[in-house]
Amino acid sequence: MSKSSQGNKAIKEFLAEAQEFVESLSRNLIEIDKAIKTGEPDPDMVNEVFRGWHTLKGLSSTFGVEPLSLLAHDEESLLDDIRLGRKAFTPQILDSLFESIEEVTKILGIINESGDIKATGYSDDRTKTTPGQSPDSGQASGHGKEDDVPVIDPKNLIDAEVLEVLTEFEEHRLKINLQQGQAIYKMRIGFSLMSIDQELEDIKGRLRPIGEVITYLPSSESNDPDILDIDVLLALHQSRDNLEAALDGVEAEISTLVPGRYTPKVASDTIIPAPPTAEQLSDSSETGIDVAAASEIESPGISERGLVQNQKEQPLSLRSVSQSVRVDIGKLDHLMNVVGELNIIRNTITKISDELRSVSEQRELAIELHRVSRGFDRRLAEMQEGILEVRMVPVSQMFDRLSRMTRKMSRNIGKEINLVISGTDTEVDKLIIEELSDPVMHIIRNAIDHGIEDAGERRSVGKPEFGTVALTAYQKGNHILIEVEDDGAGIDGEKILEVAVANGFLSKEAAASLSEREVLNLIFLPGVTTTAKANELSGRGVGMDVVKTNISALSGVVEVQSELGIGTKFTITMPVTLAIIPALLVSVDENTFAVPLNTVAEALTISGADVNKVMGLETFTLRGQTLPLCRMDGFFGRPRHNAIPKGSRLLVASLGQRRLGLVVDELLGQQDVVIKPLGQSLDETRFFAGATDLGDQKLSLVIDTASVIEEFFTSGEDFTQPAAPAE
Amino acid sequence: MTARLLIVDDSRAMRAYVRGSLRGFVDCEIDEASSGFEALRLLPRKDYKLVITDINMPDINGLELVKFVRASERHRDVPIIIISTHSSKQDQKKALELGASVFLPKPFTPPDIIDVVARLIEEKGGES
Amino acid sequence: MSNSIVIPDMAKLNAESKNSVTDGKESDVMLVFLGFTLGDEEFGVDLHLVKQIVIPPPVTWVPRVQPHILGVISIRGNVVTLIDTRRLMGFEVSEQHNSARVLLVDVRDERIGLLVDAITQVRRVPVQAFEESPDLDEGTMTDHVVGIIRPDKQTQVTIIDLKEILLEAMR
Repeated sequence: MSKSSQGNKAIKEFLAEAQEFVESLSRNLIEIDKAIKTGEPDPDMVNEVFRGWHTLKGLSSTFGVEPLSLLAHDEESLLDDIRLGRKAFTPQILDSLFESIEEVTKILGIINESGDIKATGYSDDRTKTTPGQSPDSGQASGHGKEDDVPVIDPKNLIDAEVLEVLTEFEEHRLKINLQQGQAIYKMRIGFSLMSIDQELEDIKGRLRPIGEVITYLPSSESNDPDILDIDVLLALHQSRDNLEAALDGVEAEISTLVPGRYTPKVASDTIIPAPPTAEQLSDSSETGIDVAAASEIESPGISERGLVQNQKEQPLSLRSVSQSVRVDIGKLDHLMNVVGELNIIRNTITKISDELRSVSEQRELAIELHRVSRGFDRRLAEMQEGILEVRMVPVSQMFDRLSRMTRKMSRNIGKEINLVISGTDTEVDKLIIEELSDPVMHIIRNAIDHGIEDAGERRSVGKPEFGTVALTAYQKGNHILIEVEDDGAGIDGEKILEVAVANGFLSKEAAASLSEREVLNLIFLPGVTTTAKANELSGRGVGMDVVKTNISALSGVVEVQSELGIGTKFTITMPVTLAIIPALLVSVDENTFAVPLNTVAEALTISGADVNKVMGLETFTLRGQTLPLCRMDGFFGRPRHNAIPKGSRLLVASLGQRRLGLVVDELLGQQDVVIKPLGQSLDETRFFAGATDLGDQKLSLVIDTASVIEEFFTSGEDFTQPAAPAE
Repeated sequence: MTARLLIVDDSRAMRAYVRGSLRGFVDCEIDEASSGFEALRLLPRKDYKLVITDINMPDINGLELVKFVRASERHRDVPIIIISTHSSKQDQKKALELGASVFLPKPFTPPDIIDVVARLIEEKGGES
Repeated sequence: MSNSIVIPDMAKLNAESKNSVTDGKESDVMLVFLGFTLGDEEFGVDLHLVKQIVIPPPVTWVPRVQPHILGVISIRGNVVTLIDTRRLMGFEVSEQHNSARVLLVDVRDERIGLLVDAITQVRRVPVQAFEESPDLDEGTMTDHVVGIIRPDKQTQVTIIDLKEILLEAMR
């Protein structure tokens, strides 16, 4: 019994770790992709990719996930060849690796969904042997790069003491460095057992800019039980002075194992670029190329540079030692619910303390209770904030996946695309990220497919041959904005109108009265596409309507701006979180509703006398601008008064660039509410984001302002008139 | 007597798998290290009856760890199980030369590791 | 704070009924239904389908939905759609009495509340006493009558396929 529960834990860890692997692998591959455009990828990174596959192979074979272990086995041997220099990292290999990630994601998805890891892997009857014990599967042969340079046997140069503990990969790296004539140093550094992790990261940061650490050799000769002596085996790519400078302040016993043969320019198949020019130097920190072979530059300067790089790279490498826990989002939802319940209890306590105060002989007790409940309030708010924070993840999670897909897609379509990503640190609720990546992908696909022109066409209009798609995220108040902007042909409004009229979405007359923005937004109607070519219009449901629906379901809005010949920009506006939101409580026909505060620009008092009519439609003039009115009682199918009664409230709802005045009976107050989803039996109504418990045992519906606005503007129904309840 | 074991592997799932396999079958208390460095920190503090380690880990690899354990006063004679895939015969050979007791290739079943661990602990217990 | 549960040991009842179905010989296999009334007619549904029975909590009206949906109620912190069973089955709508109860059932992974006039009792009948779908006038509702039981001379209970009715309504 205890064993099987342990097994489950291990399986969960397996899935979580495999997922992390996919994420870090994507990140590394994207870096490598950048690197191979200009030269060789960082061997450390290649090795990390190898180790990733290696670990995945070990895990998936242990857990009996056959397809995964076979895949991982192939990729592992491929990467092994690459890291040991038997093969070069080509764009084709990179493509296949990206495809493999998709494959892994698919397999993990299946396991996750079915909850079944294929029972065989965990039972005792498994007779499987390690698949394919011969990694020399043809593909590895022939391309031996090591043949090109004289073979140096480290055995003649380095102590057997050292060599005996090097893994095959480390030995290979040593060889390569020796062939390049790099000096090999051994530095004994004492690490304090207490802070070994931080000290190690510090040393790594210092050494990375000036050379390559082959390995760390722990020595057991130390006299001090709290100090661990470690010999760092370093291939130094710069002068000894630079090494001393980099180690400034670190006590290190440096000994030379192999002196360097100084080579001004090294073979092209190495990671070291030619001696940098001043220009290269100035932007080397951006391109990620180590400043190397720069012995002619004075050491103090280098040491400064080293420090700068060191600091810059520190957080990156710290990731591996960070203490993090993966939490199921469902558990967080549960915690959030508990906080919601606590909120209700808090309200009750406040009520009791208020009542108690009116009883004169209980005054002191009431004051005490009030004081205590104030403290409780504060803590509760902190807790709520804390949980919300935990739910937040950087959009880089989504952007990594998107750039992978973009890369693949641009290859498939045959258009060179430069994807520019910014704002990856922006944090969004995990749930939103999950739901948002498909719609955003859709928009990107659309941009590449229809937005960006062919290379020839681009050349003829004087644009660079490769198209640019910029993916940007940033926070603005309580909202997250995600923009997808391309420098393509733009959307032809005339064509859109033609299609919309042809498909009967609107009359010719109505079409003529639309503003430019309204025309562009027609692409979100089902059946209207963004492609500017008339002959491609049919049968190509790009599905921007689906994008819009999905985004609306998350209480977000999507808008489009475009300029013919210049490009198109889609902007998605999302609330930062969906779990707890500040809301206005309003009453409509004696029912209480909650309206998310972030959708309301302002609230005013209104009466029938303030209303103007435009073509029979009720409007209100707000600071000189006409605001259409939607009377919520009518909208909800309730009978309404002829004129808006005195003392009614007007909520100016604004989402994106659209504004609508919601007329309600009363404003009851403002409160943070926990939104709970409605069952699918209520799928037919889109006007509610969920329901919330305000503490009186009765639920209140949370109005989905975006859907109301959309319905108001698209249905053509006149909600100023009492409508019959929908049947 | 309850034996104290150290598992060194940078994969959390693999550590959980080993731990889960042994629980209930081998009377032991298990410490986990997610890197060679973490192992180096733990080793001088406690008496381990057995060390289980992967080879391919960042910074300090399994071979270095074996050598370190063998050279240390405290754990000179402690049995070491290498768990690794078959990918490098050379690494496997080196590990055994450096003094690892057993090479247990991944994938292995729970009975595999139980068997090996139980044997090594008993062997050791018999000697001392 | 919580809605009072009329039959708290539903689990025990279920277990009992399960035993009676599986343990006995063919001859003493018992069928177990939960009886409830709509107007003056008693209906029965498979007891195992009913997860919980509660006194109707305050209902929140949901605008612009089908007429048989009364609104939403809060059950242990979750939002549950409440269905007017009278309307669903095509009965006259009437005042809600103190005897009214909500049956909570699971349909398509969703917990749904069904408002009924009253609960009668758990009806256990031997399988032989179950009259399978009698010939009735053709109609949408009569299609969902799976049988009739007569626990005693005065009482007749119409057994309905509640799940199917709900699924149809939710389509």
